[in-house]
Amino acid sequence: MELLVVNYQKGLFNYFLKNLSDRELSAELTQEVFLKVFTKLKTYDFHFKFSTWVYSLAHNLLVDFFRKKKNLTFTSFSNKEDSSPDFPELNTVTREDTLIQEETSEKVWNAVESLPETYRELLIMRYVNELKYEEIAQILGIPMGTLKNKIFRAKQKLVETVGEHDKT
Amino acid sequence: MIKPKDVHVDDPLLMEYVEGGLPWEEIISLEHHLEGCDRCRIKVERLRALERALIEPVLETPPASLYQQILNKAVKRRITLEELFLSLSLGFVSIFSILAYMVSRYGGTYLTHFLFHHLNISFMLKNGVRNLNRLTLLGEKLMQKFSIEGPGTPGSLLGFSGTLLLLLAVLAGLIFFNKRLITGYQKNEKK
Repeated sequence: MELLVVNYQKGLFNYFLKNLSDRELSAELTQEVFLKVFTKLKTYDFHFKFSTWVYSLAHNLLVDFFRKKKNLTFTSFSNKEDSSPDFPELNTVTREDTLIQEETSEKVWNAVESLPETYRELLIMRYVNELKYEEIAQILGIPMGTLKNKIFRAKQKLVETVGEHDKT
Repeated sequence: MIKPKDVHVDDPLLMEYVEGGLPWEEIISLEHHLEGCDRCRIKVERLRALERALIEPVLETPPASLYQQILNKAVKRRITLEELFLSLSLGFVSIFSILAYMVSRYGGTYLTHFLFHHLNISFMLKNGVRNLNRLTLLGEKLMQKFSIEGPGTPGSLLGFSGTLLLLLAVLAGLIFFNKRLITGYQKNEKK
Protein backbone atom coordinates (compact mmCIF):
# COMPACT_ATOMS: atom_id res chain seq x y z
CA MET A 1 0.00 0.00 0.00
CA GLU A 2 2.77 2.45 0.98
CA LEU A 3 4.72 1.60 -2.16
CA LEU A 4 1.68 2.29 -4.30
CA VAL A 5 1.23 5.70 -2.70
CA VAL A 6 4.93 6.53 -3.08
CA ASN A 7 4.93 5.53 -6.76
CA TYR A 8 1.78 7.32 -7.83
CA GLN A 9 1.13 10.26 -5.51
CA LYS A 10 3.38 12.74 -7.32
CA GLY A 11 2.09 11.80 -10.78
CA LEU A 12 -1.53 11.93 -9.72
CA PHE A 13 -1.10 15.14 -7.76
CA ASN A 14 0.53 16.85 -10.76
CA TYR A 15 -2.12 15.40 -13.10
CA PHE A 16 -4.83 17.17 -11.09
CA LEU A 17 -2.74 20.25 -10.36
CA LYS A 18 -1.96 20.90 -14.04
CA ASN A 19 -5.61 20.31 -14.91
CA LEU A 20 -7.16 22.35 -12.12
CA SER A 21 -4.44 24.76 -10.92
CA ASP A 22 -5.56 24.26 -7.32
CA ARG A 23 -3.21 22.56 -4.85
CA GLU A 24 -5.80 21.86 -2.17
CA LEU A 25 -8.32 20.42 -4.59
CA SER A 26 -5.61 18.38 -6.31
CA ALA A 27 -4.52 16.88 -2.99
CA GLU A 28 -8.14 16.03 -2.21
CA LEU A 29 -8.74 14.37 -5.58
CA THR A 30 -5.44 12.48 -5.31
CA GLN A 31 -6.65 11.04 -2.02
CA GLU A 32 -9.93 10.06 -3.66
CA VAL A 33 -8.11 8.22 -6.43
CA PHE A 34 -6.16 6.19 -3.89
CA LEU A 35 -9.33 5.35 -1.99
CA LYS A 36 -10.88 4.15 -5.23
CA VAL A 37 -7.75 2.14 -5.99
CA PHE A 38 -7.88 0.45 -2.58
CA THR A 39 -11.59 -0.30 -2.72
CA LYS A 40 -11.77 -1.35 -6.37
CA LEU A 41 -8.54 -3.31 -6.45
CA LYS A 42 -10.50 -6.55 -6.87
CA THR A 43 -12.05 -5.22 -10.08
CA TYR A 44 -8.66 -4.46 -11.68
CA ASP A 45 -8.32 -6.27 -15.01
CA PHE A 46 -4.83 -7.74 -15.33
CA HIS A 47 -4.95 -7.38 -19.11
CA PHE A 48 -4.33 -3.66 -18.69
CA LYS A 49 -1.28 -1.96 -17.27
CA PHE A 50 -1.77 -0.97 -13.65
CA SER A 51 -0.86 2.66 -14.40
CA THR A 52 -3.53 2.74 -17.14
CA TRP A 53 -6.12 1.62 -14.61
CA VAL A 54 -5.00 4.14 -11.98
CA TYR A 55 -5.06 7.03 -14.44
CA SER A 56 -8.42 5.96 -15.83
CA LEU A 57 -9.79 6.27 -12.28
CA ALA A 58 -8.19 9.71 -12.05
CA HIS A 59 -9.63 10.71 -15.43
CA ASN A 60 -13.12 9.61 -14.38
CA LEU A 61 -12.84 11.65 -11.19
CA LEU A 62 -11.74 14.68 -13.16
CA VAL A 63 -14.62 14.31 -15.62
CA ASP A 64 -17.05 13.94 -12.70
CA PHE A 65 -15.57 17.03 -11.09
CA PHE A 66 -16.05 19.10 -14.24
CA ARG A 67 -19.57 17.74 -14.65
CA LYS A 68 -20.42 18.72 -11.10
CA LYS A 69 -19.01 22.16 -11.66
CA LYS A 70 -21.00 22.28 -14.89
CA ASN A 71 -17.97 23.66 -16.57
CA LEU A 72 -19.27 24.34 -20.03
CA THR A 73 -15.84 24.56 -21.57
CA PHE A 74 -15.20 20.90 -20.83
CA THR A 75 -16.40 18.83 -23.74
CA SER A 76 -16.40 15.07 -23.92
CA PHE A 77 -14.30 13.34 -26.53
CA SER A 78 -16.26 13.35 -29.72
CA ASN A 79 -15.23 13.53 -33.33
CA LYS A 80 -16.48 17.09 -33.63
CA GLU A 81 -13.03 18.50 -32.97
CA ASP A 82 -11.59 16.60 -35.90
CA SER A 83 -13.20 19.10 -38.21
CA SER A 84 -11.11 21.95 -36.77
CA PRO A 85 -8.73 23.60 -39.24
CA ASP A 86 -5.29 22.17 -39.92
CA PHE A 87 -2.07 24.11 -39.38
CA PRO A 88 -2.27 27.44 -41.17
CA GLU A 89 -0.41 27.59 -44.44
CA LEU A 90 3.24 27.88 -43.56
CA ASN A 91 5.55 29.11 -46.21
CA THR A 92 7.91 30.81 -43.83
CA VAL A 93 8.77 30.42 -40.20
CA THR A 94 6.12 32.38 -38.27
CA ARG A 95 6.63 34.53 -35.19
CA GLU A 96 5.34 31.70 -32.98
CA ASP A 97 8.02 29.33 -34.22
CA THR A 98 10.78 31.71 -33.29
CA LEU A 99 9.18 32.44 -29.98
CA ILE A 100 8.63 28.85 -28.96
CA GLN A 101 12.28 28.03 -29.46
CA GLU A 102 13.13 30.73 -26.99
CA GLU A 103 10.50 29.73 -24.48
CA THR A 104 11.40 27.95 -21.34
CA SER A 105 9.60 24.80 -20.32
CA GLU A 106 7.93 26.75 -17.52
CA LYS A 107 6.35 29.26 -19.89
CA VAL A 108 5.09 26.53 -22.19
CA TRP A 109 3.56 24.67 -19.28
CA ASN A 110 1.90 27.85 -18.05
CA ALA A 111 0.37 28.09 -21.51
CA VAL A 112 -0.76 24.45 -21.27
CA GLU A 113 -2.78 25.37 -18.20
CA SER A 114 -4.79 27.87 -20.22
CA LEU A 115 -5.66 25.39 -22.98
CA PRO A 116 -9.19 23.92 -23.21
CA GLU A 117 -9.58 20.98 -20.79
CA THR A 118 -9.62 18.25 -23.42
CA TYR A 119 -6.33 19.37 -24.98
CA ARG A 120 -4.76 20.15 -21.64
CA GLU A 121 -5.52 16.71 -20.23
CA LEU A 122 -4.01 14.97 -23.25
CA LEU A 123 -0.72 16.85 -22.95
CA ILE A 124 -0.63 16.27 -19.19
CA MET A 125 -1.16 12.53 -19.61
CA ARG A 126 1.49 12.38 -22.31
CA TYR A 127 4.22 14.55 -20.79
CA VAL A 128 3.57 14.79 -17.05
CA ASN A 129 2.44 11.22 -16.48
CA GLU A 130 4.53 9.87 -19.37
CA LEU A 131 1.76 7.59 -20.58
CA LYS A 132 2.06 5.92 -23.97
CA TYR A 133 -0.42 6.61 -26.74
CA GLU A 134 -1.91 3.12 -26.31
CA GLU A 135 -2.52 3.80 -22.62
CA ILE A 136 -4.09 7.21 -23.19
CA ALA A 137 -6.33 5.76 -25.93
CA GLN A 138 -7.46 3.03 -23.52
CA ILE A 139 -8.14 5.50 -20.71
CA LEU A 140 -10.18 7.80 -22.91
CA GLY A 141 -11.76 5.01 -24.92
CA ILE A 142 -10.88 6.51 -28.30
CA PRO A 143 -9.06 5.01 -31.33
CA MET A 144 -5.33 5.58 -31.70
CA GLY A 145 -5.72 7.59 -34.92
CA THR A 146 -8.19 9.96 -33.26
CA LEU A 147 -5.91 10.34 -30.27
CA LYS A 148 -2.87 11.21 -32.39
CA ASN A 149 -4.90 13.79 -34.28
CA LYS A 150 -6.11 15.28 -31.03
CA ILE A 151 -2.62 15.48 -29.56
CA PHE A 152 -1.39 17.12 -32.71
CA ARG A 153 -4.20 19.67 -32.50
CA ALA A 154 -3.42 20.21 -28.82
CA LYS A 155 0.19 21.03 -29.74
CA GLN A 156 -0.98 23.28 -32.54
CA LYS A 157 -3.27 25.10 -30.12
CA LEU A 158 -0.40 25.35 -27.65
CA VAL A 159 1.85 27.07 -30.18
CA GLU A 160 -0.90 29.62 -30.77
CA THR A 161 -1.43 30.09 -27.02
CA VAL A 162 2.28 30.61 -26.32
CA GLY A 163 2.34 33.21 -29.08
CA GLU A 164 -0.69 34.99 -27.61
CA HIS A 165 0.82 34.94 -24.10
CA ASP A 166 3.98 36.58 -25.38
CA LYS A 167 2.07 39.27 -27.25
CA THR A 168 0.25 40.31 -24.05
CA MET B 1 5.86 4.94 -47.89
CA ILE B 2 5.98 8.75 -47.67
CA LYS B 3 4.05 10.57 -50.33
CA PRO B 4 5.64 12.50 -53.26
CA LYS B 5 6.89 16.06 -52.70
CA ASP B 6 3.79 17.80 -54.04
CA VAL B 7 1.71 16.04 -51.39
CA HIS B 8 2.38 16.83 -47.73
CA VAL B 9 2.93 14.40 -44.89
CA ASP B 10 0.08 13.80 -42.43
CA ASP B 11 0.43 15.81 -39.23
CA PRO B 12 0.25 12.83 -36.83
CA LEU B 13 3.02 11.13 -38.82
CA LEU B 14 5.23 14.22 -38.43
CA MET B 15 4.48 14.20 -34.73
CA GLU B 16 5.50 10.56 -34.43
CA TYR B 17 8.70 11.34 -36.33
CA VAL B 18 9.57 14.14 -33.90
CA GLU B 19 8.75 11.92 -30.93
CA GLY B 20 10.95 9.17 -32.32
CA GLY B 21 8.14 6.69 -32.79
CA LEU B 22 8.56 5.88 -36.49
CA PRO B 23 10.25 2.76 -37.89
CA TRP B 24 13.61 3.41 -39.61
CA GLU B 25 12.34 2.79 -43.17
CA GLU B 26 9.66 5.46 -42.71
CA ILE B 27 12.21 7.82 -41.17
CA ILE B 28 14.45 7.52 -44.27
CA SER B 29 11.51 8.08 -46.56
CA LEU B 30 10.22 11.05 -44.54
CA GLU B 31 13.63 12.72 -44.29
CA HIS B 32 13.95 12.39 -48.04
CA HIS B 33 10.60 14.18 -48.36
CA LEU B 34 11.62 16.89 -45.87
CA GLU B 35 14.68 17.79 -47.96
CA GLY B 36 12.41 19.11 -50.67
CA CYS B 37 9.35 20.26 -48.71
CA ASP B 38 9.60 23.56 -46.80
CA ARG B 39 6.08 23.29 -45.43
CA CYS B 40 6.64 19.94 -43.75
CA ARG B 41 10.14 20.95 -42.60
CA ILE B 42 8.76 24.05 -40.86
CA LYS B 43 6.11 21.92 -39.18
CA VAL B 44 8.79 19.53 -37.98
CA GLU B 45 10.90 22.39 -36.61
CA ARG B 46 7.90 23.79 -34.83
CA LEU B 47 7.04 20.41 -33.33
CA ARG B 48 10.65 19.82 -32.27
CA ALA B 49 10.78 23.14 -30.44
CA LEU B 50 7.54 22.35 -28.68
CA GLU B 51 8.69 18.84 -27.83
CA ARG B 52 11.85 20.19 -26.21
CA ALA B 53 9.79 22.48 -24.00
CA LEU B 54 7.16 19.87 -23.16
CA ILE B 55 9.47 16.98 -22.43
CA GLU B 56 10.57 18.40 -19.10
CA PRO B 57 7.46 19.58 -17.29
CA VAL B 58 7.86 21.54 -14.10
CA LEU B 59 6.49 19.10 -11.54
CA GLU B 60 5.41 20.21 -8.12
CA THR B 61 6.00 18.22 -4.99
CA PRO B 62 2.76 17.19 -3.29
CA PRO B 63 2.13 18.56 0.23
CA ALA B 64 4.16 16.66 2.82
CA SER B 65 1.00 15.69 4.66
CA LEU B 66 -0.60 14.07 1.58
CA TYR B 67 1.18 10.73 1.96
CA GLN B 68 0.05 10.37 5.57
CA GLN B 69 -3.47 11.55 4.79
CA ILE B 70 -3.86 8.90 2.08
CA LEU B 71 -2.63 6.14 4.38
CA ASN B 72 -4.82 7.37 7.25
CA LYS B 73 -7.91 7.35 5.03
CA ALA B 74 -7.09 3.88 3.76
CA VAL B 75 -6.57 2.56 7.30
CA LYS B 76 -9.75 4.26 8.51
CA ARG B 77 -11.70 2.65 5.70
CA ARG B 78 -10.12 -0.73 6.41
CA ILE B 79 -11.04 -0.40 10.08
CA THR B 80 -14.59 0.50 9.11
CA LEU B 81 -14.76 -2.68 7.05
CA GLU B 82 -13.41 -4.67 9.99
CA GLU B 83 -16.01 -3.06 12.23
CA LEU B 84 -18.74 -4.03 9.78
CA PHE B 85 -17.44 -7.59 9.78
CA LEU B 86 -17.41 -7.57 13.57
CA SER B 87 -20.99 -6.24 13.71
CA LEU B 88 -22.18 -8.90 11.30
CA SER B 89 -20.43 -11.58 13.35
CA LEU B 90 -22.03 -10.20 16.50
CA GLY B 91 -25.46 -10.20 14.85
CA PHE B 92 -24.99 -13.75 13.66
CA VAL B 93 -23.85 -14.90 17.10
CA SER B 94 -26.84 -13.16 18.76
CA ILE B 95 -29.39 -14.71 16.41
CA PHE B 96 -27.75 -18.09 16.80
CA SER B 97 -27.79 -17.72 20.60
CA ILE B 98 -31.51 -16.84 20.61
CA LEU B 99 -32.26 -19.83 18.38
CA ALA B 100 -30.12 -22.08 20.59
CA TYR B 101 -31.97 -20.78 23.63
CA MET B 102 -35.37 -21.38 22.04
CA VAL B 103 -34.35 -24.88 20.99
CA SER B 104 -33.04 -25.70 24.46
CA ARG B 105 -35.95 -24.00 26.28
CA TYR B 106 -38.90 -25.15 24.21
CA GLY B 107 -37.41 -27.98 22.19
CA GLY B 108 -36.46 -28.07 18.50
CA THR B 109 -39.74 -29.68 17.44
CA TYR B 110 -41.78 -26.92 19.07
CA LEU B 111 -39.70 -24.23 17.35
CA THR B 112 -39.92 -25.81 13.90
CA HIS B 113 -43.65 -26.45 14.44
CA PHE B 114 -44.08 -22.76 15.24
CA LEU B 115 -42.11 -21.69 12.17
CA PHE B 116 -43.79 -24.24 9.93
CA HIS B 117 -47.40 -23.68 10.96
CA HIS B 118 -47.64 -20.12 12.24
CA LEU B 119 -45.46 -18.37 9.72
CA ASN B 120 -46.47 -18.42 6.07
CA ILE B 121 -43.03 -19.25 4.70
CA SER B 122 -41.93 -20.25 1.22
CA PHE B 123 -41.35 -23.78 -0.01
CA MET B 124 -37.57 -23.46 0.19
CA LEU B 125 -37.73 -22.23 3.75
CA LYS B 126 -40.13 -25.05 4.59
CA ASN B 127 -37.58 -27.52 3.34
CA GLY B 128 -34.91 -25.77 5.37
CA VAL B 129 -37.10 -25.95 8.46
CA ARG B 130 -37.76 -29.66 7.85
CA ASN B 131 -34.01 -30.19 7.79
CA LEU B 132 -33.61 -28.09 10.92
CA ASN B 133 -36.31 -30.21 12.51
CA ARG B 134 -34.39 -33.37 11.64
CA LEU B 135 -31.21 -31.89 13.07
CA THR B 136 -32.89 -30.86 16.32
CA LEU B 137 -34.47 -34.29 16.67
CA LEU B 138 -31.03 -35.78 16.25
CA GLY B 139 -29.71 -33.31 18.84
CA GLU B 140 -32.45 -34.34 21.26
CA LYS B 141 -31.65 -38.02 20.72
CA LEU B 142 -28.01 -37.28 21.47
CA MET B 143 -29.00 -35.36 24.59
CA GLN B 144 -31.05 -38.36 25.73
CA LYS B 145 -28.10 -40.64 25.02
CA PHE B 146 -25.87 -38.55 27.27
CA SER B 147 -28.57 -38.58 29.99
CA ILE B 148 -29.65 -35.02 29.46
CA GLU B 149 -33.33 -35.17 30.25
CA GLY B 150 -34.90 -33.13 27.47
CA PRO B 151 -36.16 -29.68 26.56
CA GLY B 152 -36.87 -27.20 29.32
CA THR B 153 -35.00 -29.21 31.97
CA PRO B 154 -31.81 -28.39 33.90
CA GLY B 155 -29.93 -30.68 31.51
CA SER B 156 -30.99 -28.71 28.46
CA LEU B 157 -30.18 -25.48 30.29
CA LEU B 158 -26.69 -26.88 30.82
CA GLY B 159 -26.49 -27.64 27.08
CA PHE B 160 -27.64 -24.11 26.28
CA SER B 161 -25.05 -22.62 28.64
CA GLY B 162 -22.36 -24.69 26.96
CA THR B 163 -23.45 -23.45 23.53
CA LEU B 164 -23.51 -19.88 24.77
CA LEU B 165 -20.00 -20.20 26.22
CA LEU B 166 -18.75 -21.60 22.95
CA LEU B 167 -20.30 -18.70 21.04
CA LEU B 168 -18.82 -16.19 23.48
CA ALA B 169 -15.43 -17.79 22.91
CA VAL B 170 -15.91 -17.41 19.14
CA LEU B 171 -16.92 -13.78 19.65
CA ALA B 172 -13.88 -13.09 21.84
CA GLY B 173 -11.71 -14.68 19.13
CA LEU B 174 -13.23 -12.40 16.52
CA ILE B 175 -12.67 -9.30 18.65
CA PHE B 176 -9.07 -10.34 19.32
CA PHE B 177 -8.50 -10.95 15.60
CA ASN B 178 -9.95 -7.54 14.70
CA LYS B 179 -7.92 -5.78 17.39
CA ARG B 180 -4.77 -7.39 16.07
CA LEU B 181 -5.57 -6.18 12.57
CA ILE B 182 -6.29 -2.66 13.77
CA THR B 183 -3.11 -2.56 15.88
CA GLY B 184 -1.15 -3.85 12.89
CA TYR B 185 -2.42 -0.99 10.73
CA GLN B 186 -1.72 1.54 13.44
CA LYS B 187 1.87 0.25 13.68
CA ASN B 188 2.25 0.57 9.90
CA GLU B 189 0.82 4.04 10.11
CA LYS B 190 3.42 5.06 12.73
CA LYS B 191 6.21 3.74 10.51
